[in-house]
Parts: sequence; structure tokens; C-alpha cells
Amino acid sequence: MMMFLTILFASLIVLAINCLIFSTLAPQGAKPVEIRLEEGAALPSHFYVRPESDLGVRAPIPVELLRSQIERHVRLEQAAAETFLKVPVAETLHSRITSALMN
Amino acid sequence: MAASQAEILNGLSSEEAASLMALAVRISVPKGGVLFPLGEYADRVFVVESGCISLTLPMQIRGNLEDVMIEERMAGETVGWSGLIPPHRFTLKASAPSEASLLALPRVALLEHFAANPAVAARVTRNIAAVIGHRLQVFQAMWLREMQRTIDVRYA
Repeated sequence: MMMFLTILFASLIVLAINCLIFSTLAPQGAKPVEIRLEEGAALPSHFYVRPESDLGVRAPIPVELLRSQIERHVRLEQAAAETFLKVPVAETLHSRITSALMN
Repeated sequence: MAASQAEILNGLSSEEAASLMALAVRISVPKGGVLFPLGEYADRVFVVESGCISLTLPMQIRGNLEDVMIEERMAGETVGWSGLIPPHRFTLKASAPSEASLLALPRVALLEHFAANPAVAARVTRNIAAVIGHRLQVFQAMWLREMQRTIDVRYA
């Protein structure tokens, strides 16, 4: 019986020392990192790739479409110039047109 | 188109118009065909009889030269006045977006006719001058509009 109590007592002492050692080695003052979205922040629409508008790059317009836009612009400009020739005042000379090249 | 409806014949009597157009040679340009390229020597003036002629200039688009349409000429209208006006070089390219028929007036024949008919020469020359003057006024206005935009963007 005496022997049993000695072993038990010794085990309790070893356990107490272990607890003391591990509590000393644990990081002090460490707090969990909190991740939160700022209010009003928009979620990215693309996960892997930034949208082209963020990069300041526009998708290339096909040459045919670009040429047709140029020709439409020329037609509109000519029509505006013809209007000026019919009514030669500053307002008709600088009338506005709706051209894709100017927007 | 009746010959008398051609703008180059404005103010001529039907007899004068008929004798002038007797000098013309009818030519046809197939769809997509070129009537004359930019810079070619010009020895004829054309009147569009039917169809349409596109006048284009080359423009750099993404490193490639593309023909951009600047003007269109319809039936009765004159094309290629450089045939009469020095230095006799076409300053645009003319092509047919669809099949077109034209009356070609050779310069040599025209000048001989003018020498024999001074009144016709004066009238036709005025008509040609009207075509040239109109283009000048239109492009002058277009240039000024472009300048205005440049000033607006740069000095606004």
C-alpha cells in the first residue's frame, strides 16, 4: 500500500511539472486574426483574373467594325458640314453628332 | 439616268448636251471593281450613269492600310474632275460597291470640243467648278469642326 501511494504521489508531481512546462511554452498574447469585409466593399467579379476595365485595357474592336464606325463618323460629319453650307451660322458649324468615335 | 440630268451638263441646251455626250464612252465596273486607284494619271472625267461609286482614302487601322469611304457618287454626279484639272492625278480611289455604269469623257476630246464651242466650255467649266467648290466647302467645314474639338479637348 505504501508503495502504491508513493508511485501515485510521484506521478501527480510529474503531471504537475509537465502542465507547468507546457503552459510556459504556449504563445503569449496571440489573438485570432479577424477577417471582415469593409462596409460597402464590392466582391470581385473575377476570382483569378482582374477585369480588363481595372487594367485600363479595352477589348479590341474588329477592324471591320472600326472601319464602319469611321465611315459612319465621316458621313455624320459631312451631313453636319452640308447643314452648315445651307445655313452658314456658328451654331450649325459646331452642331453635335452622335458618333461612336467621340464617345 | 437621262444624259441631260448629269450635273456636268447643267445649263446646256439639249443639243449642246447631246453633242458633248457623244464624246463619251460607256464603261461598266463590276461589283467590287476599281474605276481608278489613288494617284493614277487622270485623263478622263466620268459621269455616273447608274449604280454608285465609292471614293475612298487609305487609313492606317491597327497597322494595316484600310480603304475608308470618304464620299459616294450617285447617278448623274461627276467623278474624277482631276481629268480636267492639273496636275491630273486622282486624289482618291474610286470603286463600285455594286455594279455601276459610267460615261467616260476623255480630256483630249473634251478640250477639242471646248475649243470649238467656247460657250459650252464656259458652262461645263462652271459646273466642274461647282463640284470642286462644294467639296472644298464641305471639307473646310469638316476641318474646322475637327479643329474646334481639338481646342475643346486641349484647352477646356
